[in-house]
Amino acid sequence: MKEKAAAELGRQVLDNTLKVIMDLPDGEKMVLGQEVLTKTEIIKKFWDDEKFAFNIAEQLDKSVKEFLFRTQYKKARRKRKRNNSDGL
Amino acid sequence: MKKAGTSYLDYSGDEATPPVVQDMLKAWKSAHFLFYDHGSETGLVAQGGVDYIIAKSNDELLIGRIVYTLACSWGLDGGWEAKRKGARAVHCYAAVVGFMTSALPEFQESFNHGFKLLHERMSEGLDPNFKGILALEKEKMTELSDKLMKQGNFMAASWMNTNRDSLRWYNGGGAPPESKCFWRRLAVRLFGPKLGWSLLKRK
Repeated sequence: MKEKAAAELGRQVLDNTLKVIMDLPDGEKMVLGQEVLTKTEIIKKFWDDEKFAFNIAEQLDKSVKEFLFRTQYKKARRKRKRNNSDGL
Repeated sequence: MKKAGTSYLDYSGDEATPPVVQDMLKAWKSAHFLFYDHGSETGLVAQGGVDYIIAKSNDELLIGRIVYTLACSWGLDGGWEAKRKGARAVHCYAAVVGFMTSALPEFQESFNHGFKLLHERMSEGLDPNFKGILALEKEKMTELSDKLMKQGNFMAASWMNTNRDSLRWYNGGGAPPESKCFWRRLAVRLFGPKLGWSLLKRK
């Protein structure tokens, strides 16, 4: 993959993650074991702790992709079943 | 449990100190063990967070029991160790357990689902079928994650998936964690997990 395209993908994941964090309602809290983070603290930790930022970005990206894939897969499978009289 | 007539001992307040719970486990050898609190790779944390209720030094207290925990990271090491030492089955998480307060009912449902299934089966006198329960739990978490995703609560959905992926039922198809010991990893690679994990440490 060319460097520019890879950088663009990385930027998209970062932008999407930040959008999800910024869209959290003000009273929302993230509970991580013994740590309880408010929205402001999530934002602070995101920029202070690269590992935390990466984990959040990775799990969000993975979850959205999983959901979209599953939804599309189910649709495609239903369509395929309907058209199955043709074979394939 | 009350409704189903299952007898239980509840140590959910300040009395959940190591000596009290350990004495209870020694006295009730056939009781199963349910733990909802903080954990670490090596142990289940006692009330107050300074000591462990269960650590590697006393996990033989779990021999023969079904152990159901909602605690961070214990599945990375301690939960597997408890299973190896003779716990009948161990339900645990192999990473930090996370949740968002805006989706508390969904997370509560996910955390309790496996126990409800287990309790139902055992109340009916059926074999617990840990592997089947694990599959149903993961299915439920996926269903809840999809629901949150459709509501636009993406962060909660992603934590639901993360918890799902780290959930283990040792003795129910849960793959063991990778050992930190080089010789153990070599033994598992050479002889397979069953024999590799059964070779004893030289004392």
